[in-house]
Amino acid sequence: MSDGQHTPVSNQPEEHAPGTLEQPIVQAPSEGAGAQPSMPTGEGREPVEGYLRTEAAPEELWTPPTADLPDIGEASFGPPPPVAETVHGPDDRVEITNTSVYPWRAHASLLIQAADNSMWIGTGWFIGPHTMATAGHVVYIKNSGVPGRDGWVKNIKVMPGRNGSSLPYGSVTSTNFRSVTGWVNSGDPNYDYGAIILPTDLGATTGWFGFGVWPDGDLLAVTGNISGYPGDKPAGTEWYDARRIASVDVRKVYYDIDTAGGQSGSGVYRFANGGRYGVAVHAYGGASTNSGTRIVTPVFNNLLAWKA
Amino acid sequence: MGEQAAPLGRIVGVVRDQNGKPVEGARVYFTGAPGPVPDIAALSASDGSFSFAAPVEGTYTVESRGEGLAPASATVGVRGGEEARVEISLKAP
Repeated sequence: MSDGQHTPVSNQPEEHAPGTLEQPIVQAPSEGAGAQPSMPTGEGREPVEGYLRTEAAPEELWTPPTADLPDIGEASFGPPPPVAETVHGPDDRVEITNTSVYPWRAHASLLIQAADNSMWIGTGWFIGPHTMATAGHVVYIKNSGVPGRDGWVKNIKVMPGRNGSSLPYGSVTSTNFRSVTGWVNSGDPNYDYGAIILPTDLGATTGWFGFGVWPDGDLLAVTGNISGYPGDKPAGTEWYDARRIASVDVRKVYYDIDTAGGQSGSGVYRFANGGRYGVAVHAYGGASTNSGTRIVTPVFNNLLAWKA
Repeated sequence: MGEQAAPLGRIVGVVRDQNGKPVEGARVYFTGAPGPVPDIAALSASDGSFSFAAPVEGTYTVESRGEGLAPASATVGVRGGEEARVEISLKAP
């Protein structure tokens, strides 16, 4: 069902405005040049060494105290550093250091210059040779309250597979962006998605993620995976976490996958048929749950048009 | 959820080091908010300044992290249409 809010828009001249296509509901990934296939764990997570997360709660054999007790570690080391509320429970994120291989290299650290020259960081993920999916608010700032800041950003420096100061695929700067009227005109978080069009086909080397539309029941039965570039970790380091999708509605996906500021635009992806497929674009952090813009048919159609 | 309303207020701040000197390029992001906030992070300007829209009224916690400096945060309340100011001091670990 089209509600008009998914009308695609671009910062490019009218004659370059993108159209929409009628296509199947799954778009396949590509692992890029020289990729070594890596299969998910049985729970649909990446096989990251040292990463361990359980979904099931332990059986309660006794009733724990209800008082808010400090961690025993504080007795020796003092209170822990503050943790973002977008990190729910213990911080399960794991750093990815082999960022030069697929799938990690298909995620990019973004350095964003807004219209007022303020600088921001975010995350994007390749969906095609020259197209990165990201959040709408990464490419078009809305309702900032700062004079001169709202509107299309000036440029975005894209650094795929970045690992701190190491840029295994270099960097490329884009000034060519896409989003939709629901975000650009209305600032509606339900339409907070967009794309960065690169001037090169760097994605053909790094590989890209597939993306698709799945029914509610399917999404609620799978593990969501997120990898991106959070600001609360050392600059430019890539961090990963995964957890079962918590809930969905018509336009959003909700999850307790740990994130922090700087991961706006990350892909929320699942494994299917041996490949990695985005199901949402991570956009918002909250105290109890994080959320992303769900890839539904109009979103899928726009992403498909933008990767052409 | 319908159209997002104009932001209720703003959080404006500056990041300084332990000597009071502005810190440029520090990452600044929300670690607490009364509602969902965009999961983007600002980089402090050459004068250490940064600003965020505060989507709803309430208490926000802003954290900053600079290279070679320990992270630090500040908490501020934002009321209707106000501009709330914070200062974050980053110290050596």
